[in-house]
Amino acid sequence: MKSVLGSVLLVAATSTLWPAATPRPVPPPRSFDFTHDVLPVLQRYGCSSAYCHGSATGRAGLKLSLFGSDPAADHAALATQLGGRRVDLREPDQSLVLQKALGRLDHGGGRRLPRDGSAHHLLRDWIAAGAPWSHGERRELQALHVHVRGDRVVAEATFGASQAPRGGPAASETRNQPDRGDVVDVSDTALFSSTDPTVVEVDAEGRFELRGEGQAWLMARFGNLTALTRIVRPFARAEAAAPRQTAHALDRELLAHLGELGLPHLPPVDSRQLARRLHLDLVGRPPTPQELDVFAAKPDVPATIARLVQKREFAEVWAAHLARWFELPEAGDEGPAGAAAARSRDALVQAIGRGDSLPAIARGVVLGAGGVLDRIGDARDRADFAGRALLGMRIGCARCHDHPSDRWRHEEHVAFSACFAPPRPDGAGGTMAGAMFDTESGERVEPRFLELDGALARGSTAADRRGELADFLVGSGHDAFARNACNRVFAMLFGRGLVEPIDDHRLGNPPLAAGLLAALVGEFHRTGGQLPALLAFVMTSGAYAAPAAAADGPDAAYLAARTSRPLLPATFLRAVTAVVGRDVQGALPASPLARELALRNGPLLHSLLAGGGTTIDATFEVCGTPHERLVELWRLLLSRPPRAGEEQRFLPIAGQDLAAFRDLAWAVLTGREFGHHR
Amino acid sequence: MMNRRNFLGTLAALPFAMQAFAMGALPIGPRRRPRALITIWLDGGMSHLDTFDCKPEAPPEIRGDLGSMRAAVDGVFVSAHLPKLAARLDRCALLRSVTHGEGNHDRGSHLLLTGHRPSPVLVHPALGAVLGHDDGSVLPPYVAIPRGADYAGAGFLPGSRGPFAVGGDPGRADFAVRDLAPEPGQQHERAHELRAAVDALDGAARGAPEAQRDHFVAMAKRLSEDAEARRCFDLAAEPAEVRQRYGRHRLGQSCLLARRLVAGGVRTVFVGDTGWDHHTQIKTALTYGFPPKLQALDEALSALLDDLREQQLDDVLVCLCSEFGRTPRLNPLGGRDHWPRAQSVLLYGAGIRPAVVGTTDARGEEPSERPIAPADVVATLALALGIERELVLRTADGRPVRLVPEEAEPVAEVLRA
Repeated sequence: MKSVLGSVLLVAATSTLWPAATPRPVPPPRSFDFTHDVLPVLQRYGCSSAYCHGSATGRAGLKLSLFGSDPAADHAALATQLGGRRVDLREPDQSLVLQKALGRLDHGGGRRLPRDGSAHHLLRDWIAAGAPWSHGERRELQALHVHVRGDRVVAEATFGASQAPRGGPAASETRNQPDRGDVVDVSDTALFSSTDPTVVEVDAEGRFELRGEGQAWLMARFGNLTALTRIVRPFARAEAAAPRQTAHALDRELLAHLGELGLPHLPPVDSRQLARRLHLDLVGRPPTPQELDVFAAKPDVPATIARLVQKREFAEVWAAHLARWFELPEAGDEGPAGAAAARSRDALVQAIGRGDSLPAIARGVVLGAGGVLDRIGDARDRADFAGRALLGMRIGCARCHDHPSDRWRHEEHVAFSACFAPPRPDGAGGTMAGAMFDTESGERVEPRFLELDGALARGSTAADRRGELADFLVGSGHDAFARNACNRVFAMLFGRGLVEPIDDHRLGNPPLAAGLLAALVGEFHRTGGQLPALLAFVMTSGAYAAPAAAADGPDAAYLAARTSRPLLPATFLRAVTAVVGRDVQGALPASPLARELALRNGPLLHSLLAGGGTTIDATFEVCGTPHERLVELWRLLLSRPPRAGEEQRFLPIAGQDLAAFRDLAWAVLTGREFGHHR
Repeated sequence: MMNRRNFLGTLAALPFAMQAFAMGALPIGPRRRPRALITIWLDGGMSHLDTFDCKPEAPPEIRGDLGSMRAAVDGVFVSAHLPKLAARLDRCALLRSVTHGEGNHDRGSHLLLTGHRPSPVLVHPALGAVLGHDDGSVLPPYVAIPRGADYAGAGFLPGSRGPFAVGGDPGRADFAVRDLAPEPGQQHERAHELRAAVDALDGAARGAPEAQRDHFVAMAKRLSEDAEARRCFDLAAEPAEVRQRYGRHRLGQSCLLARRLVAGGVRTVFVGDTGWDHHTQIKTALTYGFPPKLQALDEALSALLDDLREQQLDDVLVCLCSEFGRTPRLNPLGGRDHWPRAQSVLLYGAGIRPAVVGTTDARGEEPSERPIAPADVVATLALALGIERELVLRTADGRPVRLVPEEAEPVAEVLRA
């Protein structure tokens, strides 16, 4: 056989050309599979990266598919293009591929392969075997596992002979144990990475080194599979969370998470600050002094939530959150696009006012409510939008290329996009199903839903697929919508998602605290995705009541503390209007410097306060003493009494005239504390 | 205040060099101070056949009926409505064969302004946002006149890299940049002092967002208190003759303001002119109106080129571009539609060698020689501005992304050695 002959020639050639090289025994005849043996080497050493031969135009005449997404084309590029001159079957070591990669010939990428490393040998043996597409038994990659052994992370692939149909286990992020199959250590060619190198660093060989405290995942990629293992290095803080009993499902998870990380369970904020948080989050303004007093006397969080969600302010504030969720342009846009967006916003306000559940609202979006989906013209853009906004997944990557760290393949994206093709006239006065045509081949694409765990991938034949699409996207077969909705609501309250970026749920991007997300999803299902119920679940938790961190650091990063975040411009104006008791005239500019200039120099606030008739003026006039004025102003604006240092500094101001008191109110309104959610 | 003309290799170069070093960018060769960029963006898509790539020999439905004239460079015909620019074309680099495949405003804008094809998951920063990092000077590093465009912003870089939008309409007689200083007689000194006290008693900023807000509060204070810096924004400080020369319209006065700002030390200015999406009656739109579009462009840009030379602002680069060209064949409504296969881009100034590069075919449909990708244009700008070509930026999640795509090739013909 030719390949055997090749192997013999290889041995002869190596011994004459490089007698100094470590003598190697004649390699036992082995099977080769280009996809699973050779491509991972090209990936591992960066050959098929976007910066090298994987770029859209290739490099220096050699074009490989990005991250090895098109094995057949890559095999052709290496083994047959240029009349097969890239490989030398007779003298494998003279192959252009090896000479370049070893840096023996001029190579733009320099030396990539370590000489006499396993990758070098593998490529040489493959060439010696005739550079086959496959040789011996055809194998199917079924699963990938990663675990820690000593100071190394080891990746093990499970191969089976079965020819699973496309879309079977090999295409998804499964780590199921197959019934049978060979387990092969692929650490030599797997790609290793760490989600946080400040916690654990891993080199190309899989050797890892622990760095600082915290949580990170070691990740291995091989073929189209990703596997990861979690590493925790506790902070071992003296005041670490002691095991405590809690009835709240979210807090049970939080305490376990903090305990594992050795982080403290910080005492909750006082009732006044909790009241401020609840009001800012639910109705976009601080509590009135009366609301503050009621809550401080009896901090009944569920009752407060129940009262506030009845207000129109709640529908307005949460419709604005949903508008951002569904990617509507910010309010204030003029022209037809702005008018359409305003209609979409109104539809959202009404939906929340009616008490529609989140799944119902999302279904409505897919079915065309408020024209949210109609803003997007292109079917592929709609598919991307549905992926991001409803499933929390960036399927858009697959629009251009299969992605190594993501499960979606280009053909799946195209087939899913075809589901969004608008219906077209059937020539008899009715409509028929829309069609989409592949931009490359020009062929009609069969619409197919994405394969999500628990949901069946299926095609669709209905003339208007929106109903089926809504069932699929928001459907009960999978958790993608629920996880996404819970993560987004959490992000709206905490300023960061458990999964970040919030539209990037995938195996390779695990949640900060999986237990917390699972608890949220459990509550979501239990209450039918009702927004007020989900909010109440979070807001009654100790996690919500945790104090704001003094600075960026582990407490804030791992949810022991809350992070401070700026009020959105619209919320800021709403809050000012509420506390001053007069409508703010005008809007704040979008660019941050222009915004600060407008607050500092512009009439927006100065005129509002100078115009009189405000609660500020009333406070000055009604209160008898400077001290009372100060206490009342602080209660109105900051929901707390002034501290000793503040009293000392500002009492003289409160004792002066009305103009000075207005200046003090301006100073607090534009100050750091009023402008931030803490 | 340090300004562009009196800066002469002083120590003030240090903060930039250090920041550039931290970013992985090093100015190429010794330089007095970083070069500045003025981008003039004709939003909607400038018709190449009615401006810088006229085809007088083509049939009427292609060449249109605006007329053309010989420019100061052999073999180049520009619109008869751009006489001043025609006479100055020998000082410019004209790229006539810029070509791409994004015929939608959003996608084309992203491509031309950032050099990257639009990605569903990542908005890239405009070149101006990359250049415009704060070096502690009083003036903001990146200014948009009157406001930015989609994709002229910070993209995946921190929001503080976005442009300061001056707002308003510079063409109006009563134009002034809003809120740069308190209204006369409204000093609010006490209020400002009290706010400083409120913030001081609040303690240190809690985390990055609060620190960023403090940064802009401080910047607003510096700008409000520096009358000389503020004068850079004051068009009324220009002699009437100069304002007239630029043209008393939005584009002209925007260009004049851009010149004042770069002279004062602003690193990048984005001048956005709207209304170039001429699907109907392109002749009327370009040659009538208040002011006629082409006349305004001719006045504004030629005045800017002259002014930069007279003021010896030879470290300023000007780039005139839009998201795509327009269809060579007039449509039944007398307009031209989107046409990304061919468009013209005009460059002038720092690091740029005058040349006319590339041609389109007889109908202006496709490049007939030297096709240039938008990424090549951005690579050219970056190189001319002294930015390292391999500069790698980081997304918020730490992913490395090249400023200039790997495959981009700078247009060597227009780069000064």
